[in-house]
Amino acid sequence: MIRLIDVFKDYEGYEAVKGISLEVKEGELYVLLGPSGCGKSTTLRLINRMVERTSGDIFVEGEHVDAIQVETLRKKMGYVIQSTGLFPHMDVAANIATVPHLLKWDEKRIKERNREMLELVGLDPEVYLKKLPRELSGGEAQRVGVARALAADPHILLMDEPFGAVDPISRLRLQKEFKEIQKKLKKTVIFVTHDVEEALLLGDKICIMRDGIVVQEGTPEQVILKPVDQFVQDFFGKEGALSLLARFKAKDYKEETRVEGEPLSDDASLKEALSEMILRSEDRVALDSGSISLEAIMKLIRGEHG
Amino acid sequence: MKKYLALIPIALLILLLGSMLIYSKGFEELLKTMFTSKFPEGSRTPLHVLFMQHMEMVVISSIMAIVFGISLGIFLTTSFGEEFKASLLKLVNLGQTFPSAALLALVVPIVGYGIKGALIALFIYALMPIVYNVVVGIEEVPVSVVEAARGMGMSEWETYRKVKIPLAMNAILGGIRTSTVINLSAASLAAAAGSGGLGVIVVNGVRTFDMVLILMGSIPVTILAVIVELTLEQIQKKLVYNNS
Repeated sequence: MIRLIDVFKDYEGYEAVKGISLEVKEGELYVLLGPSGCGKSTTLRLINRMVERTSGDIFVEGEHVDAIQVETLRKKMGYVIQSTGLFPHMDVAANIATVPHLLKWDEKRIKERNREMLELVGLDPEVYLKKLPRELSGGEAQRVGVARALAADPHILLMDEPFGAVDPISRLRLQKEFKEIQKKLKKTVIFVTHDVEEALLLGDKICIMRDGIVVQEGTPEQVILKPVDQFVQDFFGKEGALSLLARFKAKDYKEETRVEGEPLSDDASLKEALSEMILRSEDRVALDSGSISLEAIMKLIRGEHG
Repeated sequence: MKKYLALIPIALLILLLGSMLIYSKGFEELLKTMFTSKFPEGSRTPLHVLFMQHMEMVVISSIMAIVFGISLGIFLTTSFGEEFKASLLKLVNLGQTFPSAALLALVVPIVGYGIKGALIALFIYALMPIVYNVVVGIEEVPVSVVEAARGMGMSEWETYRKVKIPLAMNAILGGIRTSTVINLSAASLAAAAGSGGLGVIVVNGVRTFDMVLILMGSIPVTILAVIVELTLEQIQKKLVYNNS
């Protein structure tokens, strides 16, 4: 779907990207993770040619990026950035319709699409269509940013720290909702972040970068349980394994045994279940019609190790 | 009804100016009750003719400056114009700092006596605020907004048309306002280059220390400047997205 082959980016003597090769498969959420200045953002921007590479080749859906007109290439890929980049002089409807307008869709189709997109990101069209960006909260603005990127139904989504500027509570909600949206739409997503928890929660595959090179690439389980070097191990930290548990839903590991106590919410993760066990000082907490046990979590982890 | 409230002072000023021009005799008599004039009346070009000459100069030079200034300003913010920006802005600035009387004196020998010289001088004068405001207005559009526009596949032209120019509109109209008002008063000096206009009686009045003539020329210019200023302010409010 997307392939980078030995790509370099040189900024007048400073090498931001030093020979990166990677492949992103269709429908995969691929996370570029690393500390600031590691070249992850530059790598993302090389794909839609917001930054021109110095050497190497990039293919998108089988076509070399140089073979496509740059505006056409960009219209094929949704783009979400940290500062949202919403157009302050346009209302939410006009913002979402940006790419459909560029592609000259007819007005009726655009109107329908606007509503559909707002509903997808969990905003009521009646309330939000006519609002201006300055009337939105940070979380709402970022939802509109995602809706705008998805409006023309691109196969590919490029996201550059999309939830980085949002407060922690809204961020977790946005991340969970985005995970649901992605489950539904199955876009090919390249997602840049420096947030370990975010990477582990969302990524199908994680690519850890440092100083312009790829250090390790793999599933969240692989990078956490089998780090290739000290850097990767340190980057995830001692509690990295706990973040891994955030990927799994408690209800998927439910046992029939019923126990006392307030049941966990339906979308609670294993991390939240474990946290509840610690808080309640029990090795089993209630779910709707059943429970989750510490033993089940350990069994899962042993399986991942094996 | 509230939105028409702002138009009332404009209408009143237009009425005042109009009556000054139509009843110029009365206007002159009124001034003569306060100051003495050595000039016999009736021997001069009528006030409304001078006024129209004045308007002609300002309208033509301002339109030229607006069209050329906006194009030049936009060009300077593009990747092609980038390298000329510093030097061209300096040059345009220089045109502004040059004394207007001296500019006229320089232009007259080149293009001759008459309205042409005045138009060129006024054009150069009006250009600076427009070019400057276009450049600043466009450069102040947030980088993230331009990035998003490009990233979604807008061509350079589309980013200007849909994003940069609409967002810079406030600054651009501000530049047009400033330059037009400057031009209205600078056009009075153009009388020295033989271009006519209300400056003719002002210059004559100054030469002969005749208060009546000076005021007859300068009061309409001032009222006109206020009318233009207020009108453009209203247009600016209409066209610019509300940033408050």
